[in-house]
Amino acid sequence: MFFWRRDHTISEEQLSAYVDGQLDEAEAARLEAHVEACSPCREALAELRIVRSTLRALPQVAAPRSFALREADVRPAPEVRVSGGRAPALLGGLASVALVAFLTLVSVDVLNQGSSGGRAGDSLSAPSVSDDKAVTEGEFNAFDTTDGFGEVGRSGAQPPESGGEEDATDDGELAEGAAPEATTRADVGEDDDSETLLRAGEAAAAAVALVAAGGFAFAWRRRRVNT
Amino acid sequence: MSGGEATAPVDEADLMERSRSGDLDAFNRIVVAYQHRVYNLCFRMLGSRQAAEDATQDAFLAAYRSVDRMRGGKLQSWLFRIASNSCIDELRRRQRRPQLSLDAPVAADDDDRPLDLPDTAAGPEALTLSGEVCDALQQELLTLPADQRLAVILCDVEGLSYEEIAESMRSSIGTVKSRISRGRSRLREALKARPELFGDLIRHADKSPGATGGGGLQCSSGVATIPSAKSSSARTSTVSSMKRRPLA
Repeated sequence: MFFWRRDHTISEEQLSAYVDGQLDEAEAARLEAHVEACSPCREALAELRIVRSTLRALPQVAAPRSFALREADVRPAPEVRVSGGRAPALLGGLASVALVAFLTLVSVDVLNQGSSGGRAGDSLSAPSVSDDKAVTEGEFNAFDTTDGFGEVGRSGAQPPESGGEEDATDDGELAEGAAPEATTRADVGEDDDSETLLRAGEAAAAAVALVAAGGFAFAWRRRRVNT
Repeated sequence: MSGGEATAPVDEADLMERSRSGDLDAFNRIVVAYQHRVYNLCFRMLGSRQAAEDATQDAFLAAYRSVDRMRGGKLQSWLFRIASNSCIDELRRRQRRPQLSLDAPVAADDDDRPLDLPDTAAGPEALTLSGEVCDALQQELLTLPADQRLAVILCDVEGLSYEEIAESMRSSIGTVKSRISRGRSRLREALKARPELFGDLIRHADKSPGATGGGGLQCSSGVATIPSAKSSSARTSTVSSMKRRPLA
């Protein structure tokens, strides 16, 4: 290619296309006329033909074995998709539950502060507080009376205790079980302990929510890639 | 062509439809019909039997998994496209692990000799390549950049038309033309650089009366070597598009 003069009218690409019969009549005629008068082009054309015919003369190698697919080769793909589908659901559920726990704790927290004359509650939480107030106070007061009754809302995994403080730290597991416990503390009036527990509960619920949401997003993305 | 029966287009459409419904046996009939061509493409692209086997297996698996997405166009072009992608994936893997490129020697053993030797059917002007020349040519092919190598192999080894190559490479015909030209140009230089190997070819070309056409007619061994089942349509289209017979 490098020996073409700048004003050379026929390109190597045209010669190559000509060898493959890709030029129309007019172009072919022009090329032939040129080649007749131009020895470098004649030589190039001859060499291109040699390259072509040599490649065509290469033997066709035969497949060494059958490449027929077996059921086992083919089956794995759908299964991967299914398992990818369960993880997002689980993690999504966990994230939602933890988020609910977090919001409940936060609203209870704000509610506490409001009732004890503390700092002004967030405008964000205020509407939910007023909505939830009647429900939460009534509900949690019920738990307040009897320790045994308070335990009903929890999972069986937690040991029955007379309002044990340890229960509040299991917030990440089940929202329904945790919230009443923490609030019971508050109603009884042990504010410092209850605040700490509340904070701990919020932090735990938030952490679980974030981790679960992250896991959900990751598993969701992986599920897409598998399909 | 021994080892693989030709499938008619009507049958192929039916086999594909059944494949879409999950009929693996139907798909395997397509595999059997095309596996030699696909393996040949992979072998010429990658230069080693093992790599060609892996790429061929991957290609047919990928093809089965994407039968739903194949709606129209030539089955062969579709299979070649998938096989080309398999080969390019392997070449990219090799690039990331350069030491393994030594793993891809041109196989010199007799297992790679063809099922059909270009002798009796070819006629007296037949071009028969020695094993040494075949290996050397394969080596030269491997020095081409992947896109040029693929274009040249599809054109001159597999006998596809420019249109079919464009379909297989998902490129324009202009790009195909350019890649073929550049690939051949490099090979031309390589052939001239090794006259001890390729000198015979040049002498043969000078002597043969067949410097008559771009339709591949000059080397009858080309017809014998490449099975008619796959090449007839390509040859026909090439010849019929020739408006003028090129000069000798």
